[in-house]
Amino acid sequence: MEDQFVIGGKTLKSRLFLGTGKYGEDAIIPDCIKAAGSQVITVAMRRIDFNSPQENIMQYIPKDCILMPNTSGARTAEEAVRIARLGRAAGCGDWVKVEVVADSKYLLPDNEETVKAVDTLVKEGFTVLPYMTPDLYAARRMRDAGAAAVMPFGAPIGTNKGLRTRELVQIMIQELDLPVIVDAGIGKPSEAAECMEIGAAAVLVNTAVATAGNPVLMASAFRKAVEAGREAFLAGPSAVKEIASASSPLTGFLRKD
Amino acid sequence: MELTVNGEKRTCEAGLTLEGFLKSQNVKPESVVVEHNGKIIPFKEFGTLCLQDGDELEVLRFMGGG
Repeated sequence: MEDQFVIGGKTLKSRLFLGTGKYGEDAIIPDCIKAAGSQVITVAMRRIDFNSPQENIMQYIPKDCILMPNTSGARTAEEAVRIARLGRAAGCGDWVKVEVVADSKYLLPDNEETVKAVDTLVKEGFTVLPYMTPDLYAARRMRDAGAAAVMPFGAPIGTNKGLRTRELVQIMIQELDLPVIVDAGIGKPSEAAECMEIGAAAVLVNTAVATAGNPVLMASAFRKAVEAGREAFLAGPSAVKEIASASSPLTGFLRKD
Repeated sequence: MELTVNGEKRTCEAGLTLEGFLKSQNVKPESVVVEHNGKIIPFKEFGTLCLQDGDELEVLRFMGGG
């Protein structure tokens, strides 16, 4: 069965986006990307450290991946736009994950500033995927501004708590004619599968893979979970019932009834 | 001459191009993006942009991130 996943005019095979932060050794990243089967890879943009100027994350990202720089570090729409422009100037395409966070404890994205950044960046020709606090109205504004997808969090970044925002994300999936990608908070493959089962278009995972005991094996596990969850969604989950319903026939026993 | 690079004052020889400055700091020019006095400089101009005393540079590159 054909299951097309198109974002920003690109047809993607993988519904698992992978981040590149927090790995104990960056050299393990290529193996993780391969095991995850991911095509969309996120990176951050930072000032270089003149004391170790040779380190470069790009050497670990296969050339056929779609690079999606984030605007982490931005506290306002203006800063996010500036970072996005710098990312594009680096010559790695026009995808951007808009991330505007002014709260340093829970790292919750500021939807109002994010909408403004989406509006500006879409006009400048970027393919914009905003990281957002799950909210249907804000997501609609992002869609109207031209976002290619919206990326609500499942739980705060790096918490590995899973899909705590399930009700809100589910409503967004049902009501928006735009891909909904769950980004942040997903700690285990079963939680990624849960996102996919309720109809998320994809999930973005970083911490759960990067800080696992065996990141490559965990990347592989997430790949299977995302594929399984997607297939379950397409198959159409059976209804939940309060009262038992026998799976075996209730007639034709050996004894006489 | 004195430059402000990533928020810190740095002294370097006068007459350097942006490319020359980066190489003097052991930075591969093709691995970074640069804002010069608030304006993004296309890579092809790194070799011709002459730095002036008091210039402000932001030198950035991709890092691991989610």
